[in-house]
Amino acid sequence: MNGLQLAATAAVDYPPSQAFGDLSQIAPIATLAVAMIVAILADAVLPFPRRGPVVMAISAAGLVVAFAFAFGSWLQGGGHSAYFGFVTGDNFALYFEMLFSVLGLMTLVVSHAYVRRRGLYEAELHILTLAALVGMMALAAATSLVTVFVALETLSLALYVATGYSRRDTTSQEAAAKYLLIGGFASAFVLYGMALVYGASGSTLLPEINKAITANQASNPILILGVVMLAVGFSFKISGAPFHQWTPDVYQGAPLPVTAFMSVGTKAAAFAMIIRVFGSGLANVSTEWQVLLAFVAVLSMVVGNLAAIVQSSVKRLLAYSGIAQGGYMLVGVIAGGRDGVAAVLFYLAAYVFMNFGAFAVLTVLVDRRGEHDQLDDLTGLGYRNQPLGILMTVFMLSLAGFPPLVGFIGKFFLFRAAVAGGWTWLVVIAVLASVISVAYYLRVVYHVWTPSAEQAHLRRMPGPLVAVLASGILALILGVFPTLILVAGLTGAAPVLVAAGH
Amino acid sequence: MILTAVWLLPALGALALAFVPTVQARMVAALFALASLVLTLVVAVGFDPAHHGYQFEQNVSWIPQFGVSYHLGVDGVSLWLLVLNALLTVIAVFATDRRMPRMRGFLSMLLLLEGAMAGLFLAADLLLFYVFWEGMLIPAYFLIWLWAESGDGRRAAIKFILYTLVGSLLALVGVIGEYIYTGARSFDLAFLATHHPNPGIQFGLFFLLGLAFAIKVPLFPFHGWLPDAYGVSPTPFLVTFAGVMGKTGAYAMLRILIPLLPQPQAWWDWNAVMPVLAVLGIFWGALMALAQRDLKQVVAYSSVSHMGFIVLGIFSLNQQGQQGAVVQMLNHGIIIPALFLLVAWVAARTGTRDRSVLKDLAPRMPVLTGVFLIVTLAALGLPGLNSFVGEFMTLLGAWQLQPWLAVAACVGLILAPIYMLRMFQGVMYAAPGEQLAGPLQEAGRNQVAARADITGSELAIIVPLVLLMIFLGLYPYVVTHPMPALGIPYPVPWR
Repeated sequence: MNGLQLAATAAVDYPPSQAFGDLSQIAPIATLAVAMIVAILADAVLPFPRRGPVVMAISAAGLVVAFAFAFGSWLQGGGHSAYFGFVTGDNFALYFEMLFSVLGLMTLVVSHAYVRRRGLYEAELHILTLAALVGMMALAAATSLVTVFVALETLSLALYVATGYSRRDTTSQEAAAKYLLIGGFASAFVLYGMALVYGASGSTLLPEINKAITANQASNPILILGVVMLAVGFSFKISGAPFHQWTPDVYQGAPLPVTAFMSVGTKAAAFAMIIRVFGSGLANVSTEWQVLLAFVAVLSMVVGNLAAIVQSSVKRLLAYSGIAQGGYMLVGVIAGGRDGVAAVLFYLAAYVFMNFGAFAVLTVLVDRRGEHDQLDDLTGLGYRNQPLGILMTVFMLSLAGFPPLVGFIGKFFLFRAAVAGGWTWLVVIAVLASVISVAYYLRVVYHVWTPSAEQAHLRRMPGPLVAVLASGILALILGVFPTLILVAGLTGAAPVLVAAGH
Repeated sequence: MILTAVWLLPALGALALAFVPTVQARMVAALFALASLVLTLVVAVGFDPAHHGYQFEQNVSWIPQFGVSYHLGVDGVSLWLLVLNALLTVIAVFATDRRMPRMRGFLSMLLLLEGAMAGLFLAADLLLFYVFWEGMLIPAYFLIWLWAESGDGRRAAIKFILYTLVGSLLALVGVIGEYIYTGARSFDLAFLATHHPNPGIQFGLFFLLGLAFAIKVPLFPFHGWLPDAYGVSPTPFLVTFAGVMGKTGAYAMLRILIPLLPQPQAWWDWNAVMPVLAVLGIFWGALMALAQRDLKQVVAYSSVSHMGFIVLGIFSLNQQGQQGAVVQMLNHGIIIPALFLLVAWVAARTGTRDRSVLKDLAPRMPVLTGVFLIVTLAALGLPGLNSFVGEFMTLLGAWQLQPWLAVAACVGLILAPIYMLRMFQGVMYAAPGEQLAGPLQEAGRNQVAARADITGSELAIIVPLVLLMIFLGLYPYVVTHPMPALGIPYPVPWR
């Protein structure tokens, strides 16, 4: 049957009821895509001064509706596979769709304030954010290698452009070029790996791959090479060492809201992809990819934490911290099982709030001259604006893993799953690495609470302040009442394991 | 519910301080500290010595998916430490100088520390215990760093926190290991105490957990952070820092290592290693105390030496030794803060803490000298004062374990009068015919006025501690009586 015939038969066997059913499974993604197109049109049609606010309103409305769709489906117990198994609306996807909707809303308010202060165009940034969000959500929902790749590219292309958004800023341009080249390189790895896995299994659908690859095929060199390629490509995307070199430069060069957004968004989406592809599609060769990921995890935790100590820019510091945090999350992926995947989902939500909050604090320091992301710029922040200082302290302590903040509980879940899975040695390395991390997280705190000569009170910025406050409160509340998200994480983890046949 | 109030009230006080003007901060903090002291006394009065198991229990499921519960309870071991914590915080608040910079922050951190330590003494769930254990680091870090009295606060604070974290993060692995390897799938201490993993696993878990506790105590050779941290800490904070936080490590040994891991044997037996380290600590602390010129460091190292007795008592693995250790925890918590306060007051009057230049202060401050004498005698273990009771019980226990350990510890005990009396005599009295030494004669004369005796408010702060030293020395039954009412089963049952 050639391609033309296949298309023809599909068209015949595709009744409207099924079309509607399929669409309802990807309702959050579709909503955002529509919102993005409407926003582009509005941007083209409206008079210049009104473009920014209108696009922001459209984006916000799209995100709220997307969240509502995802939440509604979640309450009904989750959706199912759609479009002939290419995407799904299961609880795993819904968990990420809700997370990304919240992240999108927080990004909107921070971007809005940021572009105002720096005198940049507003509308395009929101549109790029929406495009990236569509890609991220699709990545979490993708259950075929084809959709995985398309979603990955959607997200990456939007972020390449967003990184270079500050057009007169050469570091921003440099970062964009670097990100594009390295990102393209990583995509090639992923694509090559997919081709090899397809060659070994005969299908691009993850459940089919899982069925085709039985344990005795583990010695198949084509398959192993494919798995290695995928692991390398994925490691680029989660900025796992030794494939992390692009991260600090890109994070430093990109405009602050973009850095904040991608530092958590890309990471969450990439982890969704790893769990989906490795955890459900390639579950039968888990021994192979566990070794590879354990190598990446150890290197990430050690290199990320050590390199972060010597940074003088908070953006770079958080970039290296992100590399190390990715290492901790990989520990959960390696542990696998329901608890392991749930721990990663929990930690990702926690990470979104802690890390985004920290970047949002930096946004308040932005003025017309540019960003002020050096550690010295933070000096005395606690006295210039006490609530902001306290919240920055909360984010740093949470990232460092101090109770009763959410970062501690998140690490506890990850490590618990890993010890239960027999990965105690990996956990010991992880805790020793996180001792190192305390040195630089506390360095930020040290600067915040060191009295400085500059006593000028910071200008108020309502948008970022709301995002900072919300993140800070969530970091505390989820630390004290972790079950709120843990239950969601366990529910979200279930479909992947069912698909893996556990 | 009352137990939740015991730890939550100081924490709320810390929050409340953010909203009161600086002038009233001290009063508000004192109110909260006093209120929590009253609460702990209510618990102490209502405590039933005949009852076995936790009292005033509160047990709410916290993370049911992983068997974690918010389980609080008080028993014979934790009861008096709880009271000590509340009492010392009251003293610390009153000992805070009115000119303390950033007063509100300081007091709120002090109250936060009290809350965290109270929670730690109350926790009957291993993970909850760990949460408070880590939580108390944050206020301690800020207090050492931001309110350092002298020297490099930042360096001392970082050193303290890195030292402590190496231990406590490995302890997190140990906590998880307890959950996994016992097969209990629960963090409840009483439940874990009846489910022991095999000795090999216990050996590993003992290392992971014990290291954290040994660093916090600190047990020789893990005391590297202590001289720096004690050296820079402001005195009011030292009252709770040295008085209570060191005890959290010893308390954790008694509460977790002893009942949960009774047979930590694989390549060697950890239970045999610990008393040896304790005796080494007694010696090392005493010798270092002898070598110090700074009065504060003399007290700091004497604290290391005393903590050795506590650990020796705990790992004598019998009732006398372990009860002696608990008594000694209280004694140490009463004596060391009193010594730090006295040293600080002497330093405030003379402008120096250097033992070699201080001389002949007794004529100028007779009352302070008298108080100093009582505290000194208590510290070196004079019969009739509190420390004697604890040390005697500890040595009795150690003798039953290994007579040579008790003999060695006794030799260490002889060193205590040497460094304590040498300090007291040197500072307060001069040899016949001797005058004030060089620097003080020129620079210090004006500072040490004719009468520079202890003030009324200072006396009010220290007298409760002195009275406790005498009272517990004469009637220790008060504290030992409810002690056998244990919350969790011990390998050696207390009667």
